[in-house]
Amino acid sequence: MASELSVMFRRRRTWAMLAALAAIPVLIAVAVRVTGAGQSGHGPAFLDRITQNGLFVVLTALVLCTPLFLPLTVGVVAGDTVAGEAGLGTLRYLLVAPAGRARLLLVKYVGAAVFCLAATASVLLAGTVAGLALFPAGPVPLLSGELVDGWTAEGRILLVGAFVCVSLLGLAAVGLFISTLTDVPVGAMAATIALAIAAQLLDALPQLDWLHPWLFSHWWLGFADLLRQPVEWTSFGNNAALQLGYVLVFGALAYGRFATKDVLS
Amino acid sequence: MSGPPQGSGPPQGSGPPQGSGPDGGAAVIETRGLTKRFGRQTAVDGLDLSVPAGAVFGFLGPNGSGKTTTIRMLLGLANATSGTASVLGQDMPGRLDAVLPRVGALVEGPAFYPFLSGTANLRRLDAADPHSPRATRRQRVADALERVGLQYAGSKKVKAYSLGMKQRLGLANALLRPRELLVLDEPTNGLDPQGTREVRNLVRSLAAGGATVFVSSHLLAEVEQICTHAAVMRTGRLVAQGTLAGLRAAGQPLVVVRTPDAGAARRVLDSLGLVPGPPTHGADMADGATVTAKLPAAARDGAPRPEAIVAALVADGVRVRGFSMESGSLEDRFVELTGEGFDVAR
Amino acid sequence: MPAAAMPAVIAAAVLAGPLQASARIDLPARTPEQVLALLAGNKVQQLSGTLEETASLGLPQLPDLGPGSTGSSGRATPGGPAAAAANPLTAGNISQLLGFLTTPHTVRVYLDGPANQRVQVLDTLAERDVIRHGPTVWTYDSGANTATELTLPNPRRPKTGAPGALAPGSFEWAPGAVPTPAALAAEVVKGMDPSTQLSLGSNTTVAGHSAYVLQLVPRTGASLIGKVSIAVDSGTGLPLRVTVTARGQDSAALEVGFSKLELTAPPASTFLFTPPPGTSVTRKSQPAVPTKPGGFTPGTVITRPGAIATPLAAPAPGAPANDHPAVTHHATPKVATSGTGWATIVEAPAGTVPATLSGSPALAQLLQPVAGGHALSTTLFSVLITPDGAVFAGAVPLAALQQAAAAK
Repeated sequence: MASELSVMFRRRRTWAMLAALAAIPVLIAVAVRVTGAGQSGHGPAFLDRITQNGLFVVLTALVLCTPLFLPLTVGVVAGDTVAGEAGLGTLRYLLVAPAGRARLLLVKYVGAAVFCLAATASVLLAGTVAGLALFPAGPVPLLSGELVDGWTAEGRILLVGAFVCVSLLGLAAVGLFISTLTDVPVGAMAATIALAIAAQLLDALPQLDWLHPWLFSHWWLGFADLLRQPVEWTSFGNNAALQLGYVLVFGALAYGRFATKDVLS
Repeated sequence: MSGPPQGSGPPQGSGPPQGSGPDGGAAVIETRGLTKRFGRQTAVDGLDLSVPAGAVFGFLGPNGSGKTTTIRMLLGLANATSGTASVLGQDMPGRLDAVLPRVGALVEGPAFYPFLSGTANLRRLDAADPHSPRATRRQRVADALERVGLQYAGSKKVKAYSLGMKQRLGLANALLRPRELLVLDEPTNGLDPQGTREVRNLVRSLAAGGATVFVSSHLLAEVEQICTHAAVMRTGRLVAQGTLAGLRAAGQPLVVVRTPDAGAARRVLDSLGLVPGPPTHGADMADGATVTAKLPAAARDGAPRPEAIVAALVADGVRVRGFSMESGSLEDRFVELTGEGFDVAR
Repeated sequence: MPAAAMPAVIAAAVLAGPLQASARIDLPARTPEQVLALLAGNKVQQLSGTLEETASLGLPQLPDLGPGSTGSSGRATPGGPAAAAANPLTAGNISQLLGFLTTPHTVRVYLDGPANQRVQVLDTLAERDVIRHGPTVWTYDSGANTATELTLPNPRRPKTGAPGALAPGSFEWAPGAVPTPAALAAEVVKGMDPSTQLSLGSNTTVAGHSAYVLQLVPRTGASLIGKVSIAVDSGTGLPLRVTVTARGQDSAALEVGFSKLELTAPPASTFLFTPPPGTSVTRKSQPAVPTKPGGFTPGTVITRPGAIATPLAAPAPGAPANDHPAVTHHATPKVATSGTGWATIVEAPAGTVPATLSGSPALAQLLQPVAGGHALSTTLFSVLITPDGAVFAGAVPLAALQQAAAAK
């Protein structure tokens, strides 16, 4: 496990992706600082609040990153899990070590999950630092209009981070499964990212509303429910249950596929 | 995982009678009717392989003859379509977790994380086995690197390695722990002559240490120099296996006669049941020609003794200036068995 | 092959999880009339709950119409709430109204006596609140970052009179189109006439509360409404869920029900509101209004669609709640009705719909040009706007409206 993480974090690509994610809140903060407050109601949610309170940088960044940039990076990492090893040829050496197929899969998934955490943390950390460096801190208005002090707000933001991180776990499991289908890592990454986008498109089609609660992206923007007063936990619970379902189903599919797969790469 | 053993498989690789099996000791690798099909293609067809303990076993065959597929099945990477395999006395892939830690392998060329150093790569692969002792890892990695002559390149990133260095690193990976069996697929690929020699010495020292070494190669010379046993594959089938000496002997012995009386010599050899080829003339015409004759397999048992041949030649007035009996080279045997020589099969 | 079977087993287990077997709910036997009396006797004064509202009215579904789209109201009314009050029929207001009719919503409601009410419409990444504390009513829209404070002339007392005229548990200050089960039930029951067939369905559970299911079926074939089911809390008589089914349909065209409900007082702080800094705040006080204008409570829009004309003339949900009594007051006297009971047709005279409205893209997307004007047809109600700006509406087929218009 330690070795899996060290391999992942010794890769320049991993750091490049985390840096790109961290750059998004910084860019937002700098852009707002330079051009001034946006008009109320324009642009992504929370953007117009940034000049009043720096902590909104994190939230604006998460609104932007959750549907696109985070799934993108998670798709790269999750799609790479098995297919990447197969592509390098190291998969056969890991298996004859022997790493054990189920164990390898588990370690790979945990690695991808740790990346989900690192990616979310990277946005959170960079956003908090950039926001507090460029804008005033202080009490933060919640969606319901109540003011809470900075520490409570930071606590809420950490909760939001946990929500976003959990949101990505289902996608990571889907990526892991796709990754066991091919020896071409780029193909697995592209397929995973395409699925993430397709799920969100389907979620936007009202004709398919029966399908919506089953889409892994359905609750992605539900993190705002943690910014209400009182906190609305339903979406957190629903999201966690849904993601767990995806992890179980696609984890099992990945195992079913990988346990009997001929490793010919 | 594996299907039922083939009850009435196709005729197995016709091993020569005298090279029929391991010379003592339990078989380290034993397969029964091992078969692998990819769709309609049969990559390995009813393989009955037996590798005796302590042997340096050469696994010969042209590219594409099913060597690597066999190795993948032996190591549990691929599932056999039918047939069984046992490695170190245990079922594969059923007892994979118990078997593989005792096996060092180089499969179809080395493969590493290019963005990690050689040392980091070896540590990663060693850590992949949950039972490999963590305390000694650093030392074992250093030792393995030294053993293949990479002690000074360990901290370099693998993407900066040459093919030969990667090959050495792959061997180092196989040597991370004391192994009872080493499966080396084309171990000298990409190595310069110096490296090839080192690998040969390495294999010999491993064998001397009591390990069984299973070397696959399409290069005869390599096998001939280091192996005690060999098996020959052709289009997925085993066509011969046994000790190297046995394989050589199984080839057709050659009678070589140097004489100015080429015509008479051929007549005599023919009458003895041998199959003489056309005479070849050396640079010095006065020295006469060289006549070679093969001993047909059918006549092998009742063939005349060499001294009887010489006596017959002399009796017939052939001026025999030189006479020798040569057992065929392994290469002749190899070409004879595989038919296609070194062409890629299929 | 256990490895291959495993995904199937896990998938089955995961999918089976949410599907719970529905057990029979045993409650003391009651007649429909007893349940109706139970409903009328509802005295719930304190609750915290979450409402789920879904509608499938057969309207063209336009994902970007909903109020969830960023800052819809703020963008649509550049002049702010004041402008919205002056001209309630802005595209933004309409699209908010339509948003409630076409997309599902989650609404949290808090109630502590008649003077403490709070409604939170949970939009994606935003929230709209109405908070009433004594004589003060705040509306807050986090997306537009606006707030309005309204001071009522005198504290209101719970209404008495006709059963369900304002059932406790309803929210008279709720944003226009947040129909609570109580409000809907009140409207339905109020509009009930002898042509209604009353029966009981099988008992159910809503948000953990066992409930009788009162079923109202119009005997007339002239109405589009096929059935209205009201789940009535067996203990308190509080309406827990109202389901409206269109004639000839199996699935609900409109459903509002609690997904969570606690019959306890929410914390007092729930009803205290101070707009956060940076919010643009409008302050108003309301002149004394003798009576609450009839025919326009949120439920009316759907359950008594005859009143659709009034909401069209009144501020739509996004507009400050305080404006609507005045405007409706101005608009209602001209409204006439024809027909009876479930098939009532409401007529608002020429000029009700300003000509500028034809330019509203949101409305244009929904209105179909038909003989005699433009029409909106849903599974539950129809609206006809004649070229001179008169509005005919009712829970009847469009043809009935066209007939009524032609008869003028």
